[in-house]
Formats: sequence, C-alpha cells, structure tokens
Amino acid sequence: MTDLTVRIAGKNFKNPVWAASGTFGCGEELERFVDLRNIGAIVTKTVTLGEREGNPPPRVIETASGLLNSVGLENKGAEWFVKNKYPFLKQCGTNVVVSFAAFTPGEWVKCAEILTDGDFPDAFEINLSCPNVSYGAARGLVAQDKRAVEKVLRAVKAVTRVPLIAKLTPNVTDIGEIAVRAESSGADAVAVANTFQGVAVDAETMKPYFKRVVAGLSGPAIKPLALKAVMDAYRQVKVPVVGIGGIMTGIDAAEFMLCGAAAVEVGTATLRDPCSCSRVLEELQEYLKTKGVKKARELTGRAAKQKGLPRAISKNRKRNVI
Amino acid sequence: MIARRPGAGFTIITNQEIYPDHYLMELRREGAGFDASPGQFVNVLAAGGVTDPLLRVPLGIHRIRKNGIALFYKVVGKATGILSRKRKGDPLDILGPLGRGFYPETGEKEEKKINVLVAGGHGAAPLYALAQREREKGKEVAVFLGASTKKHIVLSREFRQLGCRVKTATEDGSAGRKGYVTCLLEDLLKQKNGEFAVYSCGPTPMLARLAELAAEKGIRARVSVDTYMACGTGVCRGCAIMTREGYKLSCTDGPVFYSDEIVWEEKLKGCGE
Ligand SMILES: Cc1cc2nc3c(=O)[nH]c(=O)nc-3n(C[C@H](O)[C@H](O)[C@H](O)COP(=O)(O)OP(=O)(O)OC[C@H]3O[C@@H](n4cnc5c(N)ncnc54)[C@H](O)[C@@H]3O)c2cc1C
Ligand SMILES: Cc1cc2nc3c(=O)[nH]c(=O)nc-3n(C[C@H](O)[C@H](O)[C@H](O)COP(=O)(O)O)c2cc1C
Repeated sequence: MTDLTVRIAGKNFKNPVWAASGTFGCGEELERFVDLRNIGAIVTKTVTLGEREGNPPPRVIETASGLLNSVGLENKGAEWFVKNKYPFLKQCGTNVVVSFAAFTPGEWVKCAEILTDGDFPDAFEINLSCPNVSYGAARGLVAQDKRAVEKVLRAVKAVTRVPLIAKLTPNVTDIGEIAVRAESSGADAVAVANTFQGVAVDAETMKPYFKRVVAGLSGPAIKPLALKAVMDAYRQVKVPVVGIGGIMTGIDAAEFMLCGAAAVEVGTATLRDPCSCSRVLEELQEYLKTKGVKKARELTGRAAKQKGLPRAISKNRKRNVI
Repeated sequence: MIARRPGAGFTIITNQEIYPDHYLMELRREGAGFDASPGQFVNVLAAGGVTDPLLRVPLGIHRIRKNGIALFYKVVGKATGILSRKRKGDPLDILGPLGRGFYPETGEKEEKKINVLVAGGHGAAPLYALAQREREKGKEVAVFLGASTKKHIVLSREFRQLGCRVKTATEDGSAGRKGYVTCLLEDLLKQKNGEFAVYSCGPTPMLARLAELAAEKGIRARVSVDTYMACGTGVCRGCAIMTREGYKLSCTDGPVFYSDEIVWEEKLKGCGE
C-alpha cells in the first residue's frame, strides 16, 4: 500500500490531492457526483466579510485549453458562511481549508475571527491573489506587494491558531521573493498559484469580452508556467508549497510534486468533470506504484534539486537566499 | 472508490442531420434509469482525452425515454462540430440531468390552461420534451416556431406528429407570419381570451419581449435562458443572470425561470413598431 498522507501546516491530510477554491463550492454542491471522503481537502470558495454580488456577466469564457474567469468573489459573507456551511463542512468526511479575502487590515482580522471556530477549520487559505476584485484604491493584488503580504499575514496570525496557507499570484517578477516574505510573516504554507491575468476580446463587437476587461486564466494552458512558479517558490522557502495550475491527470499532479509541491489543488478540471479529484488521485497512486515510490511525499522536490536549471539553488545547500 | 455519476453510461444510437445544421442524437443507457423532467439539461463532453475543447457544452433534454434521452443541437462551433461527427455505438460522456425544468417545483396547477410553447431557433429542442409530456396527459399544445427564414424552421414535422398545433414565423416572411415568433404570441393574446400557460426557449432578446407581452396579460411565463455556462453544477458561478433578487445561476436556479423574475436588458421590438 502506498502511503498517501502528507503533513502540511502542522496537520495531517489523508492524501495530497485537494479541491481548489472557487471550483468545488463547499463540497455540498457536488455530493451528488463525488464521494467527498476521497478528496484530500476541500478548499472552499473564497469568502469575504460582507456579502458580494460578484461581477456582471459574462463571467467565464473558454480559451485554447484554458478558461478565463471574472467571477468577482461572489459570496454571502463570513457570518452567513459559518452559520450555513460549517455544519456541513464539519461532517463532510475530509479535511477542510477555508479560503477568505478582505480589503482592509481590519477586515482581514474580523474575517479571521468570525471564521475561527475552535480548531476548525484545518487551515485557512489566505487569498492574497484574486485578480477579479479591486483592493481599495490600488489596482494591484495583495500578493504583488511584499509589505502588504506581511501586514495581512501578521494581522491574521495574531488572532487565530488555525494554520495559514498564503495563496499567491503568479503575476509577479519573482514569486520566490513573495513566498519568502509570506513565510517570514507567519504563513505555515504557500499555495502557488492563483490564476494568470488575461484578456479576451470580442472581434465582432471590437470590445473587451469582460466588463472588468482583465480576467484570470486557469486550466492546462497555464500548467508549465505554474510548474515554474512552484519550483521558484520551493527553492526559497522551507514551508510546504501547495501546487496549483492546470492539473488534469495524476501525472500532472506528480509533476507538480516533483517540482516541489507537497500537495496539489485541482481546479478547472473539476468544472469539466466533478469527479476529477478522485481520478487524479487514482492515477497518482498508479504512477507511484509503477515507479516503486512507497510514500507520496517522497516525490516532493525531486526534479527541483537537479542541476542545470536557471538559478539552480540546491534545496539542501541554500534555501533561504533572497 | 468509484465516483457516483448519474449521467454515465450513455451510448449513441442515432446521430442524424434532420434539418440543415441541426442534428438529432438519440442516446441509450443500459441499467439505471434517467429521471429527467422537461426543461432540464445535460452537460456534454464532446471530446474526452483532449483539452481543447476543455469544458462541456450544455444541451437541453429533447426527448425523455425509459432507457434513454435524445438531444437536438445546432452545429455552431467546436464542440457541436465534434458531436456531429460521432457515430452510432460511440459512448458519450454526459453529466445530468441538471437544472430546474419547465414545471414549477411548487406544483402550481396549470390544469385548465391552454399550453402555448414559443421557440426561437433551436430553442425548440427542450420544448419538445414538454410538448411530449403534455400530449401524453391529453392536453392541447400550441407551438410557435420562429426563425430568420423558412429553411431555418426546425422540428415543425415532429411537433405536428405529436398532435400539436404548429404556427411559424419568419423574419423575412418566407414561411408563416412575417416577423418575430413573439408576434404570433402577440396576435394570440390580442385575439383570444382564456388562460394561457406560456413556455419559451430561445435567444435572450426574444425571451425579453415575450416576458413583456406576458406581463401585460398578467401571465407568468416559464422561460429557459441560454447563457454561457462552464461547470453546469453551480460551483464556478459563471452563468450568473440578474433577477429581481440579485444574481442567480442559470445552471442550478434555472435554466427555466419565471419571465417576471429576470431583469431583462435588450429586447426585440413589438410587431406594430
Ligand atoms: C441550458 C442550455 C441548454 C441548451 N440547449 C441547447 C440545445 O438543446 N440545442 C442546441 O443546439 N443548443 C443548446 N444550447 C446552446 C449550446 O450550449 C451552444 O450552442 C454550445 O455550447 C456551443 O458550443 P460550441 O463549442 O459548438 O460553440 P463555440 O465554439 O463555443 O461557439 C460558437 C459560437 O456560438 C456562440 N455560443 C457558444 N455558446 C453559446 C451559448 N450558450 N449561447 C449562445 N451562444 C453561444 C459563441 O459565442 C460563438 O459565436 C443550450 C445552452 C444552454 C445554456
Ligand atoms: C471559476 C473559478 C473561480 C475561482 N475562484 C477562486 C476563489 O474564489 N478563490 C481562489 O483563491 N481561487 C479561485 N480560483 C482559482 C483556482 O483556485 C486555481 O488557483 C486556478 O484556477 C488554477 O488552477 P486550475 O488550473 O487547476 O484551475 C478560481 C478559478 C476558477 C476557474
């Protein structure tokens, strides 16, 4: 039997294949199609302090092997979420990671307080990287600004015992640098990464397809880019990296682990098929068996330690250089 | 460990172009039944094993049988093009039945009402399942079919074979009444008194005009909206549509809504205008 367990942010997870935020609801929606107990962890749709109605349609469009979305964090707010979704999540049979985002330091803290329910959830995913909302006056994302990352993580860390996974954006010059700052500011893990910013244009009307113009690209189209982001982060931090971006198969998941991911999240693949997470896990198990790898966690970082890569920093020699 | 999949296990038994660019695909499923209601849809994976097209395409359930369903689709792009090349015996990966159909879940009595079904283009597809169900109950069904020209009118034969009264409208006047299909409804509501149960599926501006006509007569029509969808299961929140209570999802709250629930934008002109 292959040992699939992974330990992330001080918690044990039964397997490394998780459901990505915004693509799995809170699990309840897909119960009809999927056995939730097979999912390594459910990362819930990002919640915010207050209710948000989301962006005007159109919100999604398919691109070549990808999906652009501009959903805009539609949700009913943190208090509603605790009242209406926590009872289900607590007994859903797997680990739960609650994703949240806020717009001011005060809101981050309040959100964390509302969402912390003793030892529940298993972790928070701090969404520092949603491309489809504006943060105050600045147009940028929190995870594009080291100081903002530090401020948010320190503030949240101070008010909750729940471990923090900082979800980063790949839309930066050096994601390693941001990951290092997240780590030093209290992140127990980093999730790499959110969607890549993209644009769709309607040649017929000669107008941008989305009202907010810029949207987030996900799916197989971004996989090679996401693999690099994972490798970059892995080489610079000690905390575990959760790899995300275009995973469709168990081999894709293995590739992310080889690049340094301790666990992976499957997003867009679930929109194609609600059963994708279970299938990815089965395929990963098969891969491990074929390769004679006894423990899934032994995959982590194998391909990132090799020489001959640009800025190759062997993990054992120099981990925290910046 | 095997995932539960209500829509799995379908095989194609026919896939024929029965009107220009419009295909009838009949599917059979062995074993477990498929409990669908008219107006519900399935999300179809046109090509497995490749990532382009990546997502499924929503298609209304056109016919409901004991051991299968039929789809009726127009070839407009990538996914529907791939579907049109499938053959008898090929398996088809479908997810469903999804969404809420034409019959309101509150079980509202439509017994005494006269059924009027208004279809724009391939919007006739899911209305056929409704007509079939109503005819089985022995009810009268009037069907209004609209298209730009005569050669784009679809399913007129099939509705007639069910025993429906069929009227057509074309924008260029090459068949039936000249004008939009909503003009047929406008004529009917002007000339006849009676209680009508109006059901519709078609392009959004057409539904918007129909909603306006229905509102004038105090009718709450049941309309199936055509919005771009990704997951079909409610998790991606991509298919939002503005209603009087804020955004709802076409895939799980719809695709059938009451005509007065939706906040309509662009609408077709009336017939006198
Ligand atoms: C609930 C529901 C039920 C439907 N039922 C049927 C049905 O029974 N029969 C049928 O023929 N079609 C139906 N449609 C529409 C069908 O889903 C689209 O035609 C299909 O997704 C097109 O996919 P494609 O890859 O072939 O086209 P693409 O290559 O994606 O697009 C080709 C062209 O079609 C347009 N298009 C794509 N999707 C839509 C859409 N959802 N609405 C309007 N325009 C679109 C694109 O903008 C583009 O111009 C339904 C849609 C919904 C939401
Ligand atoms: C429709 C949609 C909604 C998303 N919503 C969220 C969200 O609310 N919070 C978040 O952190 N990421 C969100 N994401 C990003 C995914 O969690 C994931 O990081 C990204 O899609 C890349 O992975 P993938 O290629 O496997 O989809 C969303 C993605 C999609 C496609």
